[in-house]
Amino acid sequence: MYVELNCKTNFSFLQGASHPDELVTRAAQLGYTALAITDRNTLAGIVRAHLAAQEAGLPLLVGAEITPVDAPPCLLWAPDRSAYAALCRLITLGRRQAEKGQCYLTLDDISQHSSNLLAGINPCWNGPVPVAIPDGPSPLPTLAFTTAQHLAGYHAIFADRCYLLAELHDGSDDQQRSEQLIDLSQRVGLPLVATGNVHYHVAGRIALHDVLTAISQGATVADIGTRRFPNAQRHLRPLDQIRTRYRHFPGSLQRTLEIAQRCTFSLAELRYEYPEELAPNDLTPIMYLRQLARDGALQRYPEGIPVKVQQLLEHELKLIEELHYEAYFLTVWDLVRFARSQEILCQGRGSAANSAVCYCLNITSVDPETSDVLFERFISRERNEAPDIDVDFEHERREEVLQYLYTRYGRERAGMTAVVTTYRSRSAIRDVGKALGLSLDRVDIMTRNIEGSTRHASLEDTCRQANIEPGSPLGKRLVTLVDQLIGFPRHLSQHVGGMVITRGPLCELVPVENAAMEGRTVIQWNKDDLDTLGILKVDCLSLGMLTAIHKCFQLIEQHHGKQLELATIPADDKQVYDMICQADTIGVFQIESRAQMSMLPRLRPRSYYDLVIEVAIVRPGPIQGQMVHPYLRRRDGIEQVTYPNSAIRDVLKKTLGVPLFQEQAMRLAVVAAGFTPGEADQLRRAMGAWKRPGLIDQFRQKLLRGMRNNQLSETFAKQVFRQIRGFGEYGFPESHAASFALLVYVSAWLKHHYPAAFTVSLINSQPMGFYGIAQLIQDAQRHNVSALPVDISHSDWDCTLEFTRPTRSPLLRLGMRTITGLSWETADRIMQARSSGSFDGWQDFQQRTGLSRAALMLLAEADAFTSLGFHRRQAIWQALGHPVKEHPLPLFEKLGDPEEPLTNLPEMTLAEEVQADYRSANLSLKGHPLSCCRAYLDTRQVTPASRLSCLDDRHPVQVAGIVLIKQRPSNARGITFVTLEDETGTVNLVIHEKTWQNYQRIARHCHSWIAHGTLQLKNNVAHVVVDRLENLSETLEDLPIRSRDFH
Amino acid sequence: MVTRPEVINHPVALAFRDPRQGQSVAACCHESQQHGIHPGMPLSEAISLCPDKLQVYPYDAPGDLEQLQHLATACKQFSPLVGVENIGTSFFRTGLSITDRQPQSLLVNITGTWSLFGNEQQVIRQVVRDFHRRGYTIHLAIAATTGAAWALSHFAYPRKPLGESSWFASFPAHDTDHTNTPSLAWILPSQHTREGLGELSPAALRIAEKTLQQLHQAGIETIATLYQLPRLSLSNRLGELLLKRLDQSLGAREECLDVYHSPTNFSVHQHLEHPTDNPQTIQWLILSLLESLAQSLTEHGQGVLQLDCHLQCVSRKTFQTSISLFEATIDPSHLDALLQMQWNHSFLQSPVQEITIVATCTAPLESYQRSLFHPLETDCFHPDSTSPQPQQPLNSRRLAHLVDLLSHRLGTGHVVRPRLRADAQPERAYQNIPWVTPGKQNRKRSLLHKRVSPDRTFPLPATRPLQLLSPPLRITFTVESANGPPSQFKYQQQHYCIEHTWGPERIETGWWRGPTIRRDYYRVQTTTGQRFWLFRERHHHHWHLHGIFC
Repeated sequence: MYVELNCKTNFSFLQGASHPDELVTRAAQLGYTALAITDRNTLAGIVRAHLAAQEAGLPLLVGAEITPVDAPPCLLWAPDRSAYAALCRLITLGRRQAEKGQCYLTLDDISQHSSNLLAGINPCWNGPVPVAIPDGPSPLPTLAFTTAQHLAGYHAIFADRCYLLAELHDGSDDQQRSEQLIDLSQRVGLPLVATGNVHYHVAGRIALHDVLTAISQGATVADIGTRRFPNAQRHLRPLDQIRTRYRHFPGSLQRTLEIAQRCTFSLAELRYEYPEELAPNDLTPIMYLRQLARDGALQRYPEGIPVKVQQLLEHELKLIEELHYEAYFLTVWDLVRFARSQEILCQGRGSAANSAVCYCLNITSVDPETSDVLFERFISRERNEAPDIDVDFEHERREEVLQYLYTRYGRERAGMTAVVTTYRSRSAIRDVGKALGLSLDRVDIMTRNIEGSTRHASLEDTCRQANIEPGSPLGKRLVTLVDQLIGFPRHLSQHVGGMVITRGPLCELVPVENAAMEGRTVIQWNKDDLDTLGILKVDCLSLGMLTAIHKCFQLIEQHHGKQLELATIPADDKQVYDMICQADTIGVFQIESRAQMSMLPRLRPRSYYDLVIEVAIVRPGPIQGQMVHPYLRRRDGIEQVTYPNSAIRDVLKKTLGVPLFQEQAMRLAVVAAGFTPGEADQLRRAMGAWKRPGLIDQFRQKLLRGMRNNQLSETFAKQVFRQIRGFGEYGFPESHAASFALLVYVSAWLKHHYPAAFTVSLINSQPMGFYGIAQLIQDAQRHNVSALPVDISHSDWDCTLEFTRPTRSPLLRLGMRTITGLSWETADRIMQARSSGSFDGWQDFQQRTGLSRAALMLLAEADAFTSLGFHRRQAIWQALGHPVKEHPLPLFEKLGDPEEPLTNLPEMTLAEEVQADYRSANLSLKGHPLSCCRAYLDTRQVTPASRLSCLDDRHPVQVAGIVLIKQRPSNARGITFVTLEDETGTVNLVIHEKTWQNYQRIARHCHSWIAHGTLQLKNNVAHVVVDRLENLSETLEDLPIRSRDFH
Repeated sequence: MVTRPEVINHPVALAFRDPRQGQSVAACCHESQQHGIHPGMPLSEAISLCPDKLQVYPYDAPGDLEQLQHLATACKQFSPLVGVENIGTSFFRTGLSITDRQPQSLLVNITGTWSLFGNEQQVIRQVVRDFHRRGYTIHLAIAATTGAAWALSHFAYPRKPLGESSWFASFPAHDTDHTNTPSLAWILPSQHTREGLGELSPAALRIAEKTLQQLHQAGIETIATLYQLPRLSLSNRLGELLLKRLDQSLGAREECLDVYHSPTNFSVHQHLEHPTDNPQTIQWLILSLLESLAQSLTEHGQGVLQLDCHLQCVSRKTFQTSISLFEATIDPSHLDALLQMQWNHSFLQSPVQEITIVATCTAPLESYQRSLFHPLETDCFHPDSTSPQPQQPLNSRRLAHLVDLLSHRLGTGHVVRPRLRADAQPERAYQNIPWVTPGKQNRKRSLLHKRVSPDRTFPLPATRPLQLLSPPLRITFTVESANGPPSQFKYQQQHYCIEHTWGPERIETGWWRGPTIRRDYYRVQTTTGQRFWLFRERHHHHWHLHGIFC
């Protein structure tokens, strides 16, 4: 009987070579009594081990290896909850004192956090001498103590809770080592305990472990020499081997059991508690929540609360009280209240967000009364599922909200969720390739061919491309090792917005460490770990569109005197839906992408719920599950809507019998295949784990059998499985789509009614969305909004609206932010100087702003001095005349420039002007680059974009333009979708993989093309299927146009 | 192309390692440019553009420079003043290509020397012919200033007249058929320098890329436009360098030509009026040649690391010997002794008429403090001299000479020293390296004691035998035991009974080289007191003897 007490998982980055679950499962197989996980200065892998241990029925000891800078490393095991808290605190302390990824602790720190912890010390004769981290907080005196002194130090701290680790790995002189160990143990009075110093679960992982060591040393496997383990003994050894190996240490095996018996702590004991101080002293949280909801409802419905809403509220509040989620709702409410007080626009989404309570608490703006209760998946008793509310904030101001949380609850109680960054094909090939000593060029060739995909089915092909035969010994090694390494954690980074807040100190629940970003702290667990332990988190996400909408509201208030809010935008505006149906949606949230725009005329959304469907349907999930066409056919009345039984009817009624949302897929599994809610939850996770595509196939048998039992036809069953599998690719939950749909509607409404203000706010919120500034302005111009160029006398940093009195129609003035490379400070200085009166000449401008030559050059290149009477070249000449240093000597300040401005510089031609505009701001109001060479294009019989719809379907055509967007969706079988732009509009190209490869050089590097192909006209949407590409950039000379690539 | 005629008419690219994008194209030929390859492109992409045909060679910048210097020396026939263009830090034409940061032009001052060839046109014909013979096509220009000549040769368009009385010629490369591009030549008379240059782009002035860009932005596309601009505002705006270059090109400012001198060559040569095959004579000649070589080396403070000796025989056959040394030396008798040793293996077939000795690799000499009582008598340390006195301390120069002698007598591969290597597999845990290796790596070599110290300390030396059997010897047992090593085995016809065993020590390694080595090692002591190192191959349970403890 044996308990392994020293075992590292791959969360000890580049040290452990097995996943936590592999170790746990293997230990259970071998008949170990228990297993301790002791990762180096971390608890990041412990929850995964815990989950696996629960499944395997193996007791798990929670511990960690701590590496103080002034003593040999020690193992700490947590016997109870208080010891666990001390361990978490200790790791937090060390992590917070050091750079990200490092840990800085001293023996003194350990002694202050030693409460109840059990310790195991490795005498480590040949181990590395502990070295002080050079940039630690306080420099330590040189380490001069001997091992015996260290041991005495530990002994003093832990007293009878201290053990000496005996480890034998068939080294060069085990007998002598044993004698020395026994001798040492007697000398210092510490009992010996047998441990294995396990780094991987089976001996076969030695190769991977060597590779990891090589990676961590930045060397090749052949070069690491003595830094690798000489044999594979550091795996989980069978019990009989252990018995023989440790026969010289009487009692050392028995002692492992003793320690295991002392460690009764399990992660399942962790009770998570939400902060409760949000309620005033005299009220309980639920009372306070009720009160807030009631007050909110009265505000939301000044004419009286509708009966339906009243009932809903009651029902929801009762549920919340039963499940004790009131504090969670209060936390979210507090967050939203803070955001509103700072005038930060926000909107909740997620399963619990679209409830009456959340509407009344101002968390969301989707009115439960008008939107017909869609959301049965609020929270339910049966499914023990945490409520899920994500709150989106304006992307430019989210940091304020996060910092509010930190100050409100303190670093001790709030932390961001971690994300475990794992090895993917590309990084795995790179690192393994380097470790195996492949030349960097070969590694380059291999990784370049991967193109960011996570699949490794083509690993063999990749090898072949780099001239490595997959069947050769080297090829086999490479493939095996890369396969093993994929999925290994690499480092922890922060989740996009998940915050965990606790009532007690968070650092006693889980270690907290520094994030790479300044001012952020992260816990060591990711969201799945939190889910497993039932810890709630609030997702504070950032959304660019909210920034834009907020800016648009401000502009409308300022210029039109109208106050708007998300909830008060008039609903069901027919004209807005007309605009959406025509796919006139550039700039509108979510439905501006090409795929969405081609779906709009087919789906023809006429109501809010149609928008919800629109948002969810153009996703890889529904597309791969082949749900789009059945839905469209049924919607158009071509296909009849049928349901196998009434239960299924209830689930799928809203979407005409086709599951479009993730929730429906799960409910279908319950209703049709008899899944328990718990199983359905596992299914949801499998769907979420799109990185491991095979996972969902495990449910195939179960689903099919379940449906057969419910007397459902085989075809139906297969179809349902295909649909559910599709969601594994990427599905969208209805609860999120509903909140997004509201923003879709609001942004469409703004675009329709206030196109100028909308465009201005979109540009001022860049970078965001799908289109560049040039396209947004062109779109605005199509909607009769005139744009004015950047000028130092008129432009602010942001784009602004200018009103000419007679027409009252606003003009869009480009802001200085559109000038590439110009800093906000420069613009600010110009605006400050201008506030005391307009500039009356170059010298006046220069003296009042005192700008540097570099800044003046940027402005001159952007042609921003026309109001002072300088054309671009003159302005550049003027700017060049200024000293490079910012402030000229004060003595010469008033002397002025002795030179006359140069007047004989040639003016630019229109084509040159357009080019210079593009170089400076990537857009031009003077014209389009293509219009400059239209005459040439006409001789080449190139059709302008606007004339395409006049041609016949299947007509061979040639089109030309600047490449705007290249997109290669993962599910489109290698097809690349490209949008070209000429002066008349845009053309959509479809490029098959073969064509792309034939013209790879042009396709990848040239920014403007002539494309030869065949026209496809469908529902008034024109596509050109390309069969030949030609480079146009040489004709357009060197326009530095940037396309946006979405791979 | 010149050194590798086989690549003519093939697309060729030179590759270098760009720190950001990995292997990239440094330069490519006309042929490959037609496939769309250009300098600065990632190599993998270039290969994909021209999959099967593209020949890739590593870009060798020092080699290029050496070649250019070689050509510079060759150009001394046209004028004593020949220089390799000087690339300043502020000047490179394009930021794109690495090759542009290397000198690529030769500057020849033919003032006064052209008349030796007739006229300037004749000079050009002569130069072009000379370079064609060497396999190069060139662009060249004669002008009043260095700057103007450089500008014309790099930026003038063929056949476009430059000023009134300029002269242009194109020389089709007849004798070298590897390329269709002809050699081009211009002559710009000095009185037309200003107008001739005026038509060219400002890039022809050898100015920084940034200045060029600024000029382009301001719409200034010819040098003539620059003439019209006020000088003060030019230097204010575009920097001093522009004016300097402009003045230099127009002859208003001096520009020095850095004359290239080929490096000193340590070689000595003797032509024999009466060819001889008498070994004594030859030896005497060689010794005296070595002495004069030592003389010239001493002047430069250099010693020989590698030495070539060519004996040209009457039969037109060359007899060549090369020796490498452990430590730089100028001792003629030592060198002579080493050379003699080489000849012992062979003999001359015909009389020698010419002797050349070249020091192909040299290094700074180390000087030793002479000691009063133990003078450095390296001269007497000779194979046939008396054995060194025992009380004399072994000094490193004597040891170096011994190493040299042994290495040349026995072959460099046989005079080796072991070096420990960090490898778990015992037979790979050390490496034998020759003391003397040919080539430049010897240069860093110095005192012996620096190299003898081990690189790392290895654990518990007592667990490894000093003597390893190579390869390990398969042994048979007379009596086996179930666990651990057998109690009796046979080695060299002798039976050994094992009394004590230590182990196993398990070694699993080498998977990256081939099949994994899996062995369990045991140290054993026999009843007779000997200690052996045995291992069991864990694949097939065979026993081997791998070492003997002394």
